[in-house]
Amino acid sequence: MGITPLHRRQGGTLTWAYAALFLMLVLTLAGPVGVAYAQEAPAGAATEYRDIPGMGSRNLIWIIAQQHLLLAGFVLGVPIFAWVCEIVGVRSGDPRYDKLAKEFTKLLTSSYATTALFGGILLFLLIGLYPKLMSYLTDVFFPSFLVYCVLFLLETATLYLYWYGWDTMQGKKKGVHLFLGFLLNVFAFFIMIVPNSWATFQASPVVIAEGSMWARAWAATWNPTWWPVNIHRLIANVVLGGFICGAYAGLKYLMASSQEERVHYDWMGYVGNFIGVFGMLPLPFAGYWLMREIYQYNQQMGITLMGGFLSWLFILQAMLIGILFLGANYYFWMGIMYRIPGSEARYRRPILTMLVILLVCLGVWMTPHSLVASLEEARKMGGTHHPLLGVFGVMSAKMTVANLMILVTFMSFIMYWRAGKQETAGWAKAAKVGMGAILGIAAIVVVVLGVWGYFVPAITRINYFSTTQVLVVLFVLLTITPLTALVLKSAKTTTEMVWGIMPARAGYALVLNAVMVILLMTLMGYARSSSRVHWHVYGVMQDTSQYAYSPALGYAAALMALNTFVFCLMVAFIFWVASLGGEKKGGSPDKAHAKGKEAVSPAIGGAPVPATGHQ
Amino acid sequence: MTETQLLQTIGMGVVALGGALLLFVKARFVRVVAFVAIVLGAFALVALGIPQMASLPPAVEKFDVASIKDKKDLAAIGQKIFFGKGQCALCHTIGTSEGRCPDLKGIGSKLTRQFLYESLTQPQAYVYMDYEHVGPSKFFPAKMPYIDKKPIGLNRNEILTVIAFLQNMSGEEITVDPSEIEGPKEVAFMPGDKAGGQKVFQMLCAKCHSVGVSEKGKADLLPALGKQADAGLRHAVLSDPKPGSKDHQGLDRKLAVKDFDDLMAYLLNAKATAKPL
Repeated sequence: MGITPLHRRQGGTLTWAYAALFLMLVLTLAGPVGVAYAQEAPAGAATEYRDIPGMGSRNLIWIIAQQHLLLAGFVLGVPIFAWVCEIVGVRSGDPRYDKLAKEFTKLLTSSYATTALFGGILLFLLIGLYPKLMSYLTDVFFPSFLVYCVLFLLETATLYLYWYGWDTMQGKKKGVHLFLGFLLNVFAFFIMIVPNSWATFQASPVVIAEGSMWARAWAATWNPTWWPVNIHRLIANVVLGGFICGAYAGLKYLMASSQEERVHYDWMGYVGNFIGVFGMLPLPFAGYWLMREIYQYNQQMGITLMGGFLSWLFILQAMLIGILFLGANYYFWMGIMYRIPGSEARYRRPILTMLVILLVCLGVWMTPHSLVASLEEARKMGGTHHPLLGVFGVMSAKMTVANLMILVTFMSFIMYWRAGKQETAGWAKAAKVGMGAILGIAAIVVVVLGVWGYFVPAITRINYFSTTQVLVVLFVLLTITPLTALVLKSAKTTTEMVWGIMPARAGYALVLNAVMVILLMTLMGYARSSSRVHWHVYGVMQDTSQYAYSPALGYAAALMALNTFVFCLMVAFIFWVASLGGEKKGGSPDKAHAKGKEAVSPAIGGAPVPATGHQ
Repeated sequence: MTETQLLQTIGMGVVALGGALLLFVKARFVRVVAFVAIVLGAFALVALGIPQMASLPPAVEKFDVASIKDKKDLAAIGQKIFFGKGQCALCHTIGTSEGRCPDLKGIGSKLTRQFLYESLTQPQAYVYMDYEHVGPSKFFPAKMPYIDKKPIGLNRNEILTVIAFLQNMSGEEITVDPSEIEGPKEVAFMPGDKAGGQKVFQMLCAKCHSVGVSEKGKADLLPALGKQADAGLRHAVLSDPKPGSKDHQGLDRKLAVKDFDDLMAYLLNAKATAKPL
């Protein structure tokens, strides 16, 4: 197909759009940065800090760094599930999965340049505004900077080959394309863990012995919180990428102008939510491990986070995670109600039960240990702890309800997976009884350990009981998932799934989930930075600037909300620009679909696929 | 208008604007943006509704030695440090049983001054590896940090005033005398006997190290001593285990406080005189 006037106009619009964005960023930064550089250090003294009048250097770094981190989380998470989606497409022989993988990758390539742009801006600002800190970190980590540059080159080249070679590397060359996808993920993983070492070294520095610069950089890299953060961020990137893709699909669904678009984006929203939820289930465990390592490294830092000035932050975190769990489950339940005709009567009671459990668990998780009470109220209560609710404001209760919420969410997914199907295997009934028993026993074990945890020393609860709760839940996930897959392999479909008829609130639920995940990232980023209190490098290099304090939670929350809003708008802009590239290139729905409701057939792995044929 | 009130006003404005857009605007994209704005505005309002508390760097207590008249002054300064720069109250309680670490009520009457000093500067020498530990050892014991090292970094004067506070708080006689408080110079250890320190060196260190002489198969400590400032020498050389070296691990637990101080006196004297002893 040749280049038409329409494409020329769209290409021109694309160029102008990026030029406008770039110019806007330059003008926004040039003025205040220029003023910062006009500040002269006293004669003979090295400049330690520069400031931006009005906004403050700390706030500017906060915003730019947060945007970079959010974009980076997206571009590092998407290749994981895009590649898995492509593999599913190859194994099932269904072209829909390949098209979906390509659509995910389209979003990725559009965001990649912006991620690098913000990374470059962040680097310049850090060098200019925090020269003392950057000089120290460069001295320690210079070899890793070189490694990072090489990784960037490799990642960029691989990504371009992966994206632009998609249509060319089909058929016999698909294996090459899959290998490129694998390489992309390997490079992405290393691109993530290298800068993780810089940030984690600031929070948990180690003694750096004399030696070569490579030995010193390596010693600094392998610090106590490096691997917990690596694992936590790896999983969180998948969650972020999944929910953002889900939100993209949700928005496109709301704005769809044809039934085939609604069918496609309804399905894409389901896949995005599915990816987000499945990554979300093990994520709290990774977060728990990170907190344990922080406590292990420095008890006071741990207490600052969870028992001191940042303790209320974890109540906000509980609120956001609770809303996220509710939103993700709500989307599953709506899927059952609307996509599987006739299921309302059968699933209404289980859904209501799960909703009540989730709400109760959320209430317990959000309960603070010390209440905000007046002197009079505190006197009546006999302290700042409520006689009844204070019981729930401790970790034993919160670990228990967090694990229960994970179990409930997992069951929502299993319920959705099994809806509209009838098992035919002879052993299916026994398997279902077994799975029910595993789930029931696991829930009882979790609750028993949670209650028992009140009566044992803290170290016993932390080392044995909480760990057992986590292992029990993981056991449930890892046994019921393959069992269900086996049982459903021979199942017959009793009710065809119908796509494209979800109500508008489904799209809003997807958007809400993405906003919650983004807010959570901004919130926990603030927690990580604030845990260092007035240190650039904890215990090593003190912050002696005018911003050597952590702002109050309200002020910080306002900045988090601003960051989230800016990021959402920026991503929407990037995706809109990407969509200007033409529908044919991007893998959006084919036009050859039947009008009206679409009947679907179950695909391998249980994820339903919109039908491609006529009805 | 305070900063919190201003932010609350902005938050309410954002939520109101979002609501208005949802009510009156039909364009789908704008409605989604309005929805997001409402969610974010509500989040900010919730965060602004809880008690606002900034975390400031600890105030540096300036020691004006001339202003310290009696032992009560020492205890008063120690109290400020206990609840401030020392960050003791972050983990320890006084008079309640709900702390994460031992309750310190009456501690000044239970422990000697020397033991208190050791607990602060070498917590792993005797302080239990984890609080309320009973039974077999744990994988992740809780550790009290070294109070005279970073990030807390109390100097000798400050540690003595904290001891004075603990003794005073327990109803005991304060055994720290104002004359012990030194001027601005920081000394991170109590004076020891260098002759005794030489004996300790011969017993523990001479197998692998020499001081100021070149001996085959031994590492001369004098160059390393020269690189360290006095205040950091104690811990940089001895308390921090040398990476990869089993011989240094737990060295600070093998030595009694007096032996430790004597060894430091010996090494510091070697550094100062730069002659083989």
